[in-house]
Amino acid sequence: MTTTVPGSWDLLVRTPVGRIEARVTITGTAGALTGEAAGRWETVPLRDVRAEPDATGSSRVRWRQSITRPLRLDLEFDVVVTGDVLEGTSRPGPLPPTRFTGRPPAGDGGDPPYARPG
Amino acid sequence: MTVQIVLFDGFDPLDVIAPFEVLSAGSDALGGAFDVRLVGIDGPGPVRSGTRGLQLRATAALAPEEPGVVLVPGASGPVAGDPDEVDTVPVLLARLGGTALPDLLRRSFAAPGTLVATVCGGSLALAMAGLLEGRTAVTHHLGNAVLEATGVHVVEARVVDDGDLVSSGGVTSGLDLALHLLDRLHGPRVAHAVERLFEHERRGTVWRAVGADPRPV
Repeated sequence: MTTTVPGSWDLLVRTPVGRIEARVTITGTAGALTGEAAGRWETVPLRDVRAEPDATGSSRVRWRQSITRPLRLDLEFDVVVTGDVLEGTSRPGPLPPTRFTGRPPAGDGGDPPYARPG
Repeated sequence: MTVQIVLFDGFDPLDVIAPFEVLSAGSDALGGAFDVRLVGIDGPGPVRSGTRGLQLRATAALAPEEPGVVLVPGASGPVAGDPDEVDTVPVLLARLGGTALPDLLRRSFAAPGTLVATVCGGSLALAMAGLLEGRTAVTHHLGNAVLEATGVHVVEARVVDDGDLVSSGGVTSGLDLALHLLDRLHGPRVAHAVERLFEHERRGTVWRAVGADPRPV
């Protein structure tokens, strides 16, 4: 099984005001990874993207992102990418982390999992 | 000056009434020095609270640049439950982000003679709308972790005075907030007279960004 970082995943993460869908895309090479998270309302950069391969061939990937809509929120992600599936936790500020699973967007260039306004 | 207390769907009645009474008594003690009004986001009219449908009437629309105080209360409602299924208090407060309130309050913050005060979840509503980035504030103890996650420095004091933003903790801290505002704007004798009238004394130190920065002990 190959590990695909960089890559793109559709996520559904829990926040104190409900779940938010986003498409996370990580680009670059190990040591110089960047990325962005595109949601229904905005696209925000990923900060402090770090990836470490583990002994089983998976990658542990961590990053931070700050969203402003639908609410202002700092989120910290800590996930493991195995094959094309991303599993892990997101954590808003000092609140407890919650688990989620991210999957690659369906098909090449498929629509995001949310409707864009307008 | 004018004190405008903002009513919105689901507001917590005590968050509104405690400062309304304290500030009204303070105004009386000053010979009617200022007006205390309940205002609506869009205009006058009845507004339903989050507690048993109790209604209060807004007598005017919020005038965001009017010199004085604009006070934002919190919401009352369920504190537990899946926010995708239950309109928990954070959901109710986040909903204010979709009203005219954030733009109105942005104007209040920009106005030189206007300070913004919050009780309970009022600070969280403004923070979730992105208005309190980097500010120091407090909310109800159940909401302080969420407040921190919005980019606010949380200080666990009953009243946190960060200049043109004065926030207070849960529900009854609205009494202390209003007494602090009287003290700050009109002096301790007026605040003390109102404390005596209502038989309520403020509790704890009002946090302000002045003086020495304490080291961890």
